[in-house]
Amino acid sequence: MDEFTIVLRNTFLEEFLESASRMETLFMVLEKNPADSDCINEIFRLMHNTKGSSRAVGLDAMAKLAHASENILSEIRSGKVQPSLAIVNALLEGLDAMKAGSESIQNGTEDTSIYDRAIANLHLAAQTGSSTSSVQAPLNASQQPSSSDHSFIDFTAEENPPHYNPDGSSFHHTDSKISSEVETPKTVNPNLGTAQQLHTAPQQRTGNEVMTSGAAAPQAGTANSKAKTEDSIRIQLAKIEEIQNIFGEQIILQSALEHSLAQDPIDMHQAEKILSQLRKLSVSLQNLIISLRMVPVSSVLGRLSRAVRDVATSTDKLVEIKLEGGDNEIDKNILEQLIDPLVHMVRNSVDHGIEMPEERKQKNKTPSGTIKINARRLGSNFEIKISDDGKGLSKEKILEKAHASGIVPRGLVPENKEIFKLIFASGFSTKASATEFSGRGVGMDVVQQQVKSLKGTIDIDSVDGSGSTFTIKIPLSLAIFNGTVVKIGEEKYVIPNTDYRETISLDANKNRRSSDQKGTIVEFNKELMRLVDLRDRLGNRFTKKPDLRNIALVVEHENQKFACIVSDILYQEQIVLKEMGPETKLVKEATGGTILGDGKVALIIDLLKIIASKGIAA
Amino acid sequence: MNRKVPKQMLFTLDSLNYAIPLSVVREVVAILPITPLPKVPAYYKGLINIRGQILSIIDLRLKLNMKEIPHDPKSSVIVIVELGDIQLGLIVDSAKEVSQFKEEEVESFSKRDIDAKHDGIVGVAKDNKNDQLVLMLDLMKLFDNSEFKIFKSTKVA
Repeated sequence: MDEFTIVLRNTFLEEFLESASRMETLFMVLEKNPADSDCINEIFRLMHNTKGSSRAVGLDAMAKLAHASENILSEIRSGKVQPSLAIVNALLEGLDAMKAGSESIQNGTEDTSIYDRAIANLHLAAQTGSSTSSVQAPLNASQQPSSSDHSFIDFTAEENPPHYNPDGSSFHHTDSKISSEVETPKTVNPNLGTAQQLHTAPQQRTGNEVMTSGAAAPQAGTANSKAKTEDSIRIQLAKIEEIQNIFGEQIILQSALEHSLAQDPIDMHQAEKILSQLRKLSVSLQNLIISLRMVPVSSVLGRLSRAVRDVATSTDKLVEIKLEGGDNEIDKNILEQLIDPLVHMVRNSVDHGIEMPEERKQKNKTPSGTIKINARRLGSNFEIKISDDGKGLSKEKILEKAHASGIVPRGLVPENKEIFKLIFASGFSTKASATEFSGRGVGMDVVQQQVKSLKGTIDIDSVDGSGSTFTIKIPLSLAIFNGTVVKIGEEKYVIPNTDYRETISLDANKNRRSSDQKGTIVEFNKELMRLVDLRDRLGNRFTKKPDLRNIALVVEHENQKFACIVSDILYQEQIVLKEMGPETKLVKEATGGTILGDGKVALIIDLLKIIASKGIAA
Repeated sequence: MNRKVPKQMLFTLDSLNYAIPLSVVREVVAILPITPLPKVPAYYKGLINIRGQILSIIDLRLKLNMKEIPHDPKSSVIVIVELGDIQLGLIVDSAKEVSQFKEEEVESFSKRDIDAKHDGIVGVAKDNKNDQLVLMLDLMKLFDNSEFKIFKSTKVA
């Protein structure tokens, strides 16, 4: 395959993943509202696009599946087939197969067998549900191809059918208008208004957006770590124009600055004025660039609704999912890493939290449960709340289980919040038996790990009988933060402002010191703190002199305070995290690097890690 | 028998001539201010800022167990190389020309010829034009065998 085809293919795959998630959302809408013609039209359009584009980049097997899906969609659109549960299931299964397929393509091994299975299921669902009556096909029809349904046997007799069998099958009435549109996507059929829409709409959509391949930070998300393609993001053209404008202004100011510096004598007053204007521009440029990486939270709604739906249908529960604050934007990288935990949590909420409809009626609740997702900015954090109106967490049950499994010693009863947090412990599940979706007690542990790796926190609140709320807080924009530049030995280091509580000045004459086997303890304001001399730890060329006065940063770790001695505290500024090569992992104390105002590189150090690794924290 | 080996970039270390394939060289820059790192091997000199990008710097003299000398700002340069996913800056005494040797001018070393401390040297070329010998260096081998283990650390991390 030549390079150009690879580029085209990667572009297609990216676009496909976007339209796939849009289709998922639309299928959910369609299921609730089978008569929604706008919805079915949009799905049809997206599927049609997928078919055309996949064929164009040589993915014929995928195109075949898209074609089969499209046929059913066109039947739904013309009202000949009702979007029954079985049919929507089969269509979703088809989407899943295409997604799995696109992932396998990115891994370099396209597996086309999954498509065939999905096509078979689509045919089966279409045949069982093709009678125009609203008879609901059994849920498992699409999942049990071995059923003795004779129409299915008819179908399997034909190996790998490229299209619907036009004769003998339920699709013999496929109308010629639709098939002409399907077969010749390049020509606009004047008989069909939608056909026109079909070709122009995608262009309109991409018209004011551009694709940029960015040097985005490496992804931890499961789907993305496998992908060989560079990550990309859609950016509104207006944002790029704004950046260009600011850049233009900067150039003008730059030459003005050069001009005032060339004066004899130098026009200092003018130069300073220009410099302050330049600073302002830099700040707006910075904000704009940060905003380029942002995507609305609502972009994950499709995946979440899909997860809720899957669990709900197979557990026979009724669940609605609501998203508030979906317009709020969050860094694309962060959101991608949050998708898996969020999916896991909503699945859990449906499986563990929401009761069966009868049980809910008995409790005077609506038969249908609600899962609410609320996303908002909260200061420098981003907060996502997932609440359900299910049965809530039983403190007694959790505690009983924790005591039984030895996670909490018997006789010890922690605080409410701490009790709820026990469900994050690995191997913990109050559910008597594991279901397909949850109950194995591994998931919540993973959720917590992932949130932690984003430097976030997770809290649980629950009222027994009326529901639970999970609150995830993630610091916004990990790439830029406020930091303190300190001198340790001869070098400058950066410490994130959120990593320490305060700075203190220790005086050997006033602050008493004592030592135990773990090191030195100092008393400051009647509090005992352990001394950690960062100069020992990091100062390469540090020559130790007995010093009477020390400047230290106070860090709290596991209810103990640590006074971390530095040589000097220089200043505070906005720190831009820079990427560094994997070889820099050799420096275990550092979490990253940055470039300071003087143009030199400085390491960003992780005080907690230093404290923990010194073996003095325990 | 007039086949040629890939183009090589020549440089000197301790008045010896070395060569690395030109294909791994990204650029050659003057010595920039280096931020030293705590608790790393002596040859890992630290980090530099090259047009906003952070780059690790290796003193090739120390890496090849030669004695350390203060860098002469007039002749010492940083050769930036790309090895797989990793970019490194190598400090050398001076950068020289790009040469293309004929196959018969190069003598490859088999494994047992190589002294442990000269790991990474895979052959020697006779530069007839300038009447000198050039040691051919395989950077992947040089770093793969050391405690630096940059290529392995990508997996561990």
